[in-house]
Amino acid sequence: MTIKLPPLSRRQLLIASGLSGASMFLPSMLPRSRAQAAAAQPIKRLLVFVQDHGTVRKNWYMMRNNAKLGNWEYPFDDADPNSFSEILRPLHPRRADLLVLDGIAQNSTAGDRATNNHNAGHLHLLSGAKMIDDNNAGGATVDQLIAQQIARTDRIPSIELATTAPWLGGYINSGPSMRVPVETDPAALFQRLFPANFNTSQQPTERDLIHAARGSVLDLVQNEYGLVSPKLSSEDKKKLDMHRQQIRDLETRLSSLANIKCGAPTAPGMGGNRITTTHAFADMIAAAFACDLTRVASISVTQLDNDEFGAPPGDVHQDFAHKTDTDANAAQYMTDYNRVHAEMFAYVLDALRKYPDGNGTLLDSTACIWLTELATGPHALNRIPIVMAGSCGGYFRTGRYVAWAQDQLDPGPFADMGSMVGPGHSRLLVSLMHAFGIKQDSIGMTSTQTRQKPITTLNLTGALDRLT
Amino acid sequence: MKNPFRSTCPQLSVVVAMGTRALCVGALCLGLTAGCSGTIGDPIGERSNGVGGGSAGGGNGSGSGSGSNGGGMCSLNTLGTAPVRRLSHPEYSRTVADLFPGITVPQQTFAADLRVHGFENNAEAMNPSPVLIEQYNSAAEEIGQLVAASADKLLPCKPSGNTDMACAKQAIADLGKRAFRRPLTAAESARYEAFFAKQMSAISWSAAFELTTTAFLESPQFLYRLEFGAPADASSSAGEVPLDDYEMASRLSYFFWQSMPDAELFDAADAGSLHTQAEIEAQARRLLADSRAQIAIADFHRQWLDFDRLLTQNKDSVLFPEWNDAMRNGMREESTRFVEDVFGSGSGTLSELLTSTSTFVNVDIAKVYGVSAKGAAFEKIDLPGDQRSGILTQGTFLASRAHSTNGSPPLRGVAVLDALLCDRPPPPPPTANTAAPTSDPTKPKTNRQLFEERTSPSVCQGCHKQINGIGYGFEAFDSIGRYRTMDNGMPVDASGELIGTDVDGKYDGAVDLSHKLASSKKVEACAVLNMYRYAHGRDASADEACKLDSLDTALEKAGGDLRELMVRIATSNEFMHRPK
Repeated sequence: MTIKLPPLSRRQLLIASGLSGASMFLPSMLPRSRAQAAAAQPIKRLLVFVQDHGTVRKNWYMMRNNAKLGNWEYPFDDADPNSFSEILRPLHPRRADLLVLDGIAQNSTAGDRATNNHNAGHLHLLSGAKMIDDNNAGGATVDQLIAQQIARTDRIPSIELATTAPWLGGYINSGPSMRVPVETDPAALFQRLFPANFNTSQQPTERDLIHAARGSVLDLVQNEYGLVSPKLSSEDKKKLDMHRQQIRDLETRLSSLANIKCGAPTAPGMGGNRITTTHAFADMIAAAFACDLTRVASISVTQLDNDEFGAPPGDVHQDFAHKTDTDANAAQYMTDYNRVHAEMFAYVLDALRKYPDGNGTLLDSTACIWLTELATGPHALNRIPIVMAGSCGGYFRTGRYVAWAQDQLDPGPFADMGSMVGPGHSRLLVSLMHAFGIKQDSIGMTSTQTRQKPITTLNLTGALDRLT
Repeated sequence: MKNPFRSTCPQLSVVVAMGTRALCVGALCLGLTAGCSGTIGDPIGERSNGVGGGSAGGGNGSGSGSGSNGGGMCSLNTLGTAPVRRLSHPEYSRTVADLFPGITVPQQTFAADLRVHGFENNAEAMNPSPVLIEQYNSAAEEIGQLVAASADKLLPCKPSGNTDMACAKQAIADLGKRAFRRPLTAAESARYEAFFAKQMSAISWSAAFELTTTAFLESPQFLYRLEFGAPADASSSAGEVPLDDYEMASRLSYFFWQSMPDAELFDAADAGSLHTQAEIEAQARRLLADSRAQIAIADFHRQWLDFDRLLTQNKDSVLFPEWNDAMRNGMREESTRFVEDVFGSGSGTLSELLTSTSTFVNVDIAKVYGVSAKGAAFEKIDLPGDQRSGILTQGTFLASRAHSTNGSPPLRGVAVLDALLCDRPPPPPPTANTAAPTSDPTKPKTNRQLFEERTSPSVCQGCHKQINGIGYGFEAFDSIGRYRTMDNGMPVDASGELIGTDVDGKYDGAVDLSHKLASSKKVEACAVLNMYRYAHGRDASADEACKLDSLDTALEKAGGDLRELMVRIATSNEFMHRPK
């Protein structure tokens, strides 16, 4: 068998013949001026970090002078690590990059009272949308909306990660009832982001040529979808058209990705627990951000096993989380549980700081946010613990603790501290959308009503004050 | 025999349509308070609490024998929707195995499809996603490479050199017909041949074969079951068309085998002999007799009864040091083998599923049943008939509906209500304490006493009277499914009461409970509904009650043999036609 070999290096071959097509977009092929213009635009990134279960408030918040919650703030100007709470102390070295938010509530969940707060907290957390049912979110999550806004069509729009198969299929949805599948295997993620680099010094083998011809398979297949779909009913047509578009996007992406040389982190090893998996995810996300393989990522850390936070045998959910208000031991275990998450989040931030970006590091151009499924172990949804990090290119004013007055009637009631709550978390999601240039003042529900008398309507729109 | 879901509420066809429990309360939900009202808007399956008194349960003479109509809106001859069906993940893997015999294809990982009523093949919920498309692409590339490496096992001809287009055409016609599950059209052949020719001249014959195989595996004709129907004939009503022979062959093979048609089905389709009920029934019986049917039916049960739930269960390591992955997987395998056995050498009846005293054990799970086993191989054993009775007394069910420390009567009760009685209660209110109750060491209590105390407020009783009335029946089993007579030093009380069914009344223990459920028409009707969902890849809509009624009658006539139900579904108007 003879193969006619073109006088091209493997890498050139991939570019030239491999994933050819009119829609191909390669930065290197752009006219110089446009490429420069694209480079001049500062890139912003989003990293969502979500944990299952809530916090232990008394070991999380950092009130000064026993102040009551109100519309106040203070700068993180104390160099003493003990100025940080037991749970948040691992983040003290990063205090200049932090925004710790105290007093926000998941007010939108009041619209879904006929359900366990786990379901409501889980499905509203990133969507603010009224649920379809107990297991299905009612709208796209904020990360997906931001990905639509900022993703490059020739790159991976967003990556969704979880440390193990997540409950309810995870937190991320691209629309009502449309959960986005998550990757749980660090090795698979590595393979997807950093496939083996080609050796450019050798002549291509037949395998290389086949690899290079795979783009034409996708061309052929796309055409098949295009021919079949007009014969179908409108619902079926929609589905196959979506399939076709996703093949097209895949082709564009592969052709572009084949041309990128990324500095890959060390390949993750086999096995590992949720903590090492999170570390591996963080390293790969940082490398992917640095290469602009993607701009949006989420990590869902599923419920830790006992040994991962040094707890004795017992059911984490029922024996510890549910009892943090009544059992001192349980409260300490869940404090440890949350502190371990703070350590993981600190690792994420440090991973981003390893990569210079503009005048700072990747952390400076990224909005990182650590959210919890519920406010507390016993299912409260008010005063939810929120830590943001990174200024998103100077958009957020970091280095501060910001609190909000509890001056709205609890819509649930789902509070565990009286009848009043702070602003709805939907508004924080709106703030995030604004940071990425989405000109929208609401996400999901725009208001919710209290169940207590006097029946009052709570506004869920508009960006949160004092973040920028 | 009319379906107890439908026939007891005939005057309220709107109730049927809306699928609420609450609306039936006055007439049918005696013993429940209005506190336990279900979610509104679910189709048939969760619509009514079902049977009151015993009017349907004992009403042996009420059915007309065929097609009794449960509501004015329903007609046996009005087709439901037939959305395009993408291969489910189990279907994909079995199809690929059958498409490339002799080639071992590694298990592929695909993003899970949304499960609806437990089923992974609900066409409406199966949307493509970027991750899935990427995974399909990777799988197709990997399989294409494997297939090309062993092409001599599959090719109908031996390519001579690197320019043998004649053999390429044969390969495309042969592989294409089996991949698309029908002969390629002339236009399709031309497109794939042109692609082959191009790759053949650019690289090689083998490379072209690999790339063409990859393309087949990503084509809509492979990934989706595209149906356009044959021209209307005498058998079709207005607005519908009969399926063509190849479409019918696929409906049969995917229903009975979760895979592509075999050679005999292709031959029958080629010969145009998949049109009459008799022809289809003969094929259905042939498929059922094959062991592939048992594997597929076991997979139906995996989805229906949620065997996978077991895989995420953790147990208290102090109380249950023996609990590990091997035990989890072993229990799931036990239930799979049990179902295969019931549908292979057994009677295929709900009654056997619920009352059989035999099961399968290996060394990983033997101690759950207090028996010994030799090794990793599973063997069929008989269990004490006063302790165990069918699938609800197996580790899979018991251990997956439990807290880490003890069994959960509410979880077990809800699971039976949901899966077997199609009567899922609403979720607990947000304020409900769903943590496992624990005993004060100074005042020891049994698990049952703790739950009685927990659910005693009247606001709980609205639902928990019914839920726990079933759940307490399993109190003789601990968190991992071991039989016990004592709990926390006190005798176990596993007596309970069935409420809101056609077999209401007191019973004692899971064996008694399982036998009562086995005699329930409501359980039979619920099984029919679930098989219908699975067969058609969609939920039953509100105006399909009479179709389900007709199938209930068929199932009853067949003595509860679910295989006969499947034959009946396969030969129904619904299965043989599609909307125009």
